Amino acid sequence: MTVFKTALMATPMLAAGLASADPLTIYTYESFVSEWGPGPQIEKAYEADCDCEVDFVGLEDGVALLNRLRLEGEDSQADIILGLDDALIAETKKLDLLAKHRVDLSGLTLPYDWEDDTFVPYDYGHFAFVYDQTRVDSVPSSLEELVYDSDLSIIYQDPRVSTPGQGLMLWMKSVFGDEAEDAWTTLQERVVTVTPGWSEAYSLFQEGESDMVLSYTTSPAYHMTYEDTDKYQAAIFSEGHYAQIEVAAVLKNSDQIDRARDFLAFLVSNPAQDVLPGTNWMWPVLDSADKPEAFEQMVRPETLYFSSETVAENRRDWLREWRNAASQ
Amino acid sequence: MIAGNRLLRRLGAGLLWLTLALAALGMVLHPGGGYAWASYFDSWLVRVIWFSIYQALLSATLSLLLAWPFAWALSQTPFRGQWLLAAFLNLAFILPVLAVVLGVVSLFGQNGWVTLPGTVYGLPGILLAHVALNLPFATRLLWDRLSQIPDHQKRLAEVLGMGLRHRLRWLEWPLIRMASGPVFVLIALLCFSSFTVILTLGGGPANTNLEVAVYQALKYEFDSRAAMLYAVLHGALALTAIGALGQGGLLNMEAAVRQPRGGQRGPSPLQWCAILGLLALLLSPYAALLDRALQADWHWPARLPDALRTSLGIAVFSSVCAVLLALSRCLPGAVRTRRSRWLDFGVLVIPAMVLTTGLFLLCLRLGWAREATWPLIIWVNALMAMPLILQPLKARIQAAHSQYHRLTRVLGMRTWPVLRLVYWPLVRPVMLWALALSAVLSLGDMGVAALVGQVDFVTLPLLIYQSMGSYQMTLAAQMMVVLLALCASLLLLAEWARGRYRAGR
Repeated sequence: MTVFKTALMATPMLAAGLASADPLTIYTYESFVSEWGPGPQIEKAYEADCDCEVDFVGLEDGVALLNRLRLEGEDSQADIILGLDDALIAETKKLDLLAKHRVDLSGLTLPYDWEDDTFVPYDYGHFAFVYDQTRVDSVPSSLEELVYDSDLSIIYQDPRVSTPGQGLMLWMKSVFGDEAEDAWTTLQERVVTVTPGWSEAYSLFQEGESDMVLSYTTSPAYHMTYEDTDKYQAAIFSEGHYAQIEVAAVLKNSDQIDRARDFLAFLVSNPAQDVLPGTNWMWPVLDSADKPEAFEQMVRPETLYFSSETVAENRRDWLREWRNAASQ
Repeated sequence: MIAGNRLLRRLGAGLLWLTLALAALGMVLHPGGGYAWASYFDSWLVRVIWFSIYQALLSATLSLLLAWPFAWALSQTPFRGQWLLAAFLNLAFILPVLAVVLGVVSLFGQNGWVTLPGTVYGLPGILLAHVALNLPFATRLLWDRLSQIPDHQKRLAEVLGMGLRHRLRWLEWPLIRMASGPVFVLIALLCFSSFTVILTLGGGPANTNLEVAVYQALKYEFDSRAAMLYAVLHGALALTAIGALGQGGLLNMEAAVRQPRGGQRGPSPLQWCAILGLLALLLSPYAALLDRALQADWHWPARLPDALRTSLGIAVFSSVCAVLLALSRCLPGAVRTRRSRWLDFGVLVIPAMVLTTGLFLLCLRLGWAREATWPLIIWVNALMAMPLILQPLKARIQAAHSQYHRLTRVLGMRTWPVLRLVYWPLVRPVMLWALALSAVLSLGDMGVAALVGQVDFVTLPLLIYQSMGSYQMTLAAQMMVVLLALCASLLLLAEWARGRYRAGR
């Protein structure tokens, strides 16, 4: 409906007679709103709760959300932005478009000490390369081995658009530091393709286009739960794994700011948290949340992370470093 | 009459100048927020420029090499019904680029009819799609050029007992060589400005051209300074290439495309081979696309009706704009000043995406990005269609003018009756044809909508692109069939209008 309405705004002569109560508009990434993602269930649960309409708009992937927010500025149609991650919060806050959340976050479990008055964390995970153990036998045991001493082909996501792609960039940076460009150049020789989002990368991998795909340590739980197979495994690396906390925030120009805050509180309460592990395949921030059984077998690796201030300061240089290496 | 003419003419020219000026202003005033200039000139930019040129030259070479034998065979003797083949070759130039892209993926992709040794994404896919798009165009132009060998020369060759080899050497080769230069530059230029093909089939940062770089700078990094820089570089390089061809050469190309004379006899066996080979080559992507679409039940996404409505709305408005604009450029009594020639030329050669970028940056700067979506897409689509419909409209209006101008003057008819009784009946069929053609072009456009469209803005090609992006190829193919059916019905309408026009002549 929103599409239609927006399209009509520019053609006022057609717009007469169209009016409805504003739904709560939430910008998020595509896999969140897909039919097997958490979006539909959370939407249904919240709508039953609040007697209102929730409208998810799915963009390519997480980083695209930040770009979209920059582009739309104060005119944004969104009430909530959901799906940025901890690395991007400093940069997003600089836009001065967000309101404080006023949600009590004291009882939440996170991979590292983290607190913010604007962003509400709703789930987290560790990036990992997932492989099919029936097809791959020499699995690297470190990122260094994957880059310099392996012949596995990989697919990953574009760090300019996708938070997993950005996660890999930060992971490479935290492991290789100043030698990251060299590592990218070496890795590039075995890259099948760089996709705009997580969904595309993962489906290409499942069609057999590559040996490994960048995803999360918890991704195998999906296949164990729904396909009853443990052939997909996450490679655990000795350097540690880069962590991602997924966050949501309210836009200060929202015309239903209280409802939006209420939604954020809902997001970290049991009804929503119970949905997330089994649909988004990430760790819930509430320990008491229901999780598919397969989560018990998931490894909890060492956490690597940069502060979001460091990311904000260096993101463009690191992106250019990647771009130069990946286009050769 | 004269006053009305002048008004419309001035309005048209004024709007074109304004567009160019605003686009330039947008480039200068871009919303900023960029980084130090020096930081943009890195190895990636070199790679992007190199790839833009490299793939364009390669695509043009391949298209030409393939077109030579077909054009040569077809031009041997005029044959009955050759206008039909010519019309088909023209058609390939108008249909949505995305259809060819999807066709190539359906043909050579993972589950396609032919499996490539590597993946179709990357340079192979780009070249295949560019050849599929430009081979008909190249064949058409070369065929036309070769058909211009005067009959007496052909007879002379016969009398002299020239064999195939000698005829090729002395008669045909010089013409092919002469015509190939401009055709090569033209196709290279089209491929240099290719957007949809490279965005969808590029598959990663290694295969990016300047036009896609503009898009990525805006959409991926929100770096308007980078977008501006890449767009300016793109425009400058395109203009340089035109300089290499020369303005005269380009105008010659336009004049060269004429309706070929048909012959009395059917095609020779050689020509049959060429016709069937050409049809097989050009239709195979569409056949693979259709095959792909039929592989699953038709299951429409919820956003399809919205996308259809938006696409049709834009097509209607932009085709009306295109026709009005074209009319304003060809009204009788216009003095062809050097300035106005430059204007037509400028609109023709400045890549549409460069114009779009300039205008969009201006809207961003003014905070109108959202409101400007529809007007911007409509206007740029109209600008893109205008040069293609200008010539036939112009010819028709000038014919009407020279035939009836004195009569209406003698009769002392006033403006309105002259328009209604003299011009309208004569111009109407061509106008319907022009409307349909511009609508088809606008329906198939993805680049402008992708660059300008906001998050919840979706046209049919954008929706198809999104499903391609999630590798839902069957769904994409099904929606493409819908788009092609729409285009086909519009083109049939156009043909019907043209048929009536021919009958009425």
